[in-house]
Amino acid sequence: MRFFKKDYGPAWALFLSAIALMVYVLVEYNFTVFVRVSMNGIVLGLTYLLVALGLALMWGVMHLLNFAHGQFFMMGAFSVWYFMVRVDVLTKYLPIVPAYLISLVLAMVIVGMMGTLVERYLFRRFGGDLLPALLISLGLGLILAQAMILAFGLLTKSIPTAFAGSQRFFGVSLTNERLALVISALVLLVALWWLVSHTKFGRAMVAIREDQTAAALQGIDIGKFRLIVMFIGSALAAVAGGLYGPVFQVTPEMGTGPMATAFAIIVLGGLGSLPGAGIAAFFLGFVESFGATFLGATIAQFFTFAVIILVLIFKPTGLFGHGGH
Amino acid sequence: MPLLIKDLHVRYGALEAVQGVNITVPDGKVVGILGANGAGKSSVLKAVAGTIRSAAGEIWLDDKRIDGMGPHQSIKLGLATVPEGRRVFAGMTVEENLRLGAYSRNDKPGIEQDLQTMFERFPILKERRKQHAGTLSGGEQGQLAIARALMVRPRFLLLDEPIQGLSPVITDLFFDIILKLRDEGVTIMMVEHNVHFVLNLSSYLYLMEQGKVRIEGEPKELTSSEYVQMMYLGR
Ligand SMILES: Nc1ncnc2c1ncn2[C@@H]1O[C@H](COP(=O)(O)OP(=O)(O)OP(=O)(O)O)[C@@H](O)[C@H]1O
Ligand SMILES: [Mg+2]
Repeated sequence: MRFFKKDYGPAWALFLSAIALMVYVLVEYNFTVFVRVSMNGIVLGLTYLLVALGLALMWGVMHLLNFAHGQFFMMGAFSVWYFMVRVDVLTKYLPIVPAYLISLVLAMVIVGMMGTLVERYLFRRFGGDLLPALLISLGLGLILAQAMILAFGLLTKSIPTAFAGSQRFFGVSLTNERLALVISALVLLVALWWLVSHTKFGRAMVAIREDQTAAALQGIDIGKFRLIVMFIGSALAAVAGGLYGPVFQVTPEMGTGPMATAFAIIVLGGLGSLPGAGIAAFFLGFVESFGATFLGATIAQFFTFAVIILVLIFKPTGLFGHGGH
Repeated sequence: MPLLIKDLHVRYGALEAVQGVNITVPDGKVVGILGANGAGKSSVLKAVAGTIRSAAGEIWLDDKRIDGMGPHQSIKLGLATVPEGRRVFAGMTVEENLRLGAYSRNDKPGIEQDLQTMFERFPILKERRKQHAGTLSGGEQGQLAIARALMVRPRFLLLDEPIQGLSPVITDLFFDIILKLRDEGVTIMMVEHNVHFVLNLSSYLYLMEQGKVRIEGEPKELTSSEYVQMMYLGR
């Protein structure tokens, strides 16, 4: 693919510094600690990546960002909680695993539909400009968070795990629900990669990203594509929330942190670049995990943003940025 | 199939770039549009292609009204466009560009066959098949742009400065291709600054000035007009 060319000095520097960080931990602490922290980094990285890829898709195709994306992640978790806990139809008549999977699919459909409605009735109405889209979606995000508080109260919710038990890897145990998150995320990533690189849909998407007018002249229905991309991107945020929910907790504010990280990921990776987002997501997941364990959360955050700023100084378009359009 | 443009207006904010233009392109003919920079030629073409919206007027393709249609709809009626500046997909290979040209089609064997036809017509494209379009020379990009449009198997073709920057040899190639397309029954509307090229190909010409048609007629009528002689033929 064309993504892997150009000047990737900063990408290598980032990669090497991540390796150095790992070697440091390996030398200073022991292997078990290293594995545990790495696994946590993978779980976080994959969650953030699902959230960030939705944003990367939107930016690539629409040159817009949905600032309610973090709340869409939260809505995904709330939807799963709603179907698993609040209405007990699914869990009453089905074993917990299919009930959970159905809830996840429902969450993707509901939040995906919300995304298409936002595109159709808000973004499109304002001519697809970035600034109105920013304000509208920021407002929408606040409304959604408040709506969840009004509807379901302030108390933290938890989703019962569909995957009890745990596995051992290199002497470290990993809960099955985290494993399920990792596997589901990987399946989704492969599906997305296949969609983008092996289908007519994906070729059209790349064409739109490169030149929207020229793409339209080849017969690509831009309006339809924007709706589909909003659906896919929002559904990815929802499934990330639905996978994250049982592992952590469900609150109306749960989307804020992952949203900020997802933004950092797409800026660091190069706006609109999917492989760039992948590398950046793992880097930030690892930094968060290592940093929080060994340096404390605050210093980890400082370190994260210091790295982002450094990369942007040397390569303002991000690791895999395409430059201007 | 004929193309009719009736009282077309195009506005960009306060600027009225096209002010009531009437153009007829008869079935199976080549019609040329001439005019100085900024006369509104490309705006007319873009309105027909559907990449910009017209402010008023009607555009008819056969018995279908196409103003207000997007390009993805008019392409289904057989309308293909070589836009101003070519706009090939620089980050994609020559072959990927050509395949995107056939995006609106579903007949796989036909697409493969047309791909081979394009490689025969434009040997340089075959040679550069796996090369990114952005690395092609200007003239090569010009060939790719027209080949991409032909992948639509158009019944109607819009050309905006197709031979701009092409060498004489390739210009002659384009001349032959356009004649051949016309003989196959493709209806063609062409904007071009090369007056001799347009005069020799077109059966009818429009000369635009400041958003309006100033003179129209057959090539003979136009070349005998004093105004055209002075402004365009340098006599
Ligand atoms: N997107 C736009 N926004 C604002 N003004 C525009 C836009 N596109 C064209 N114009 C203006 O409309 C007028 C007509 O432009 P158009 O591109 O149709 O001219 P043209 O006849 O094709 O010229 P050229 O021979 O230079 O290609 C020009 O004055 C131009 O500046
Ligand atoms: Mg023009």
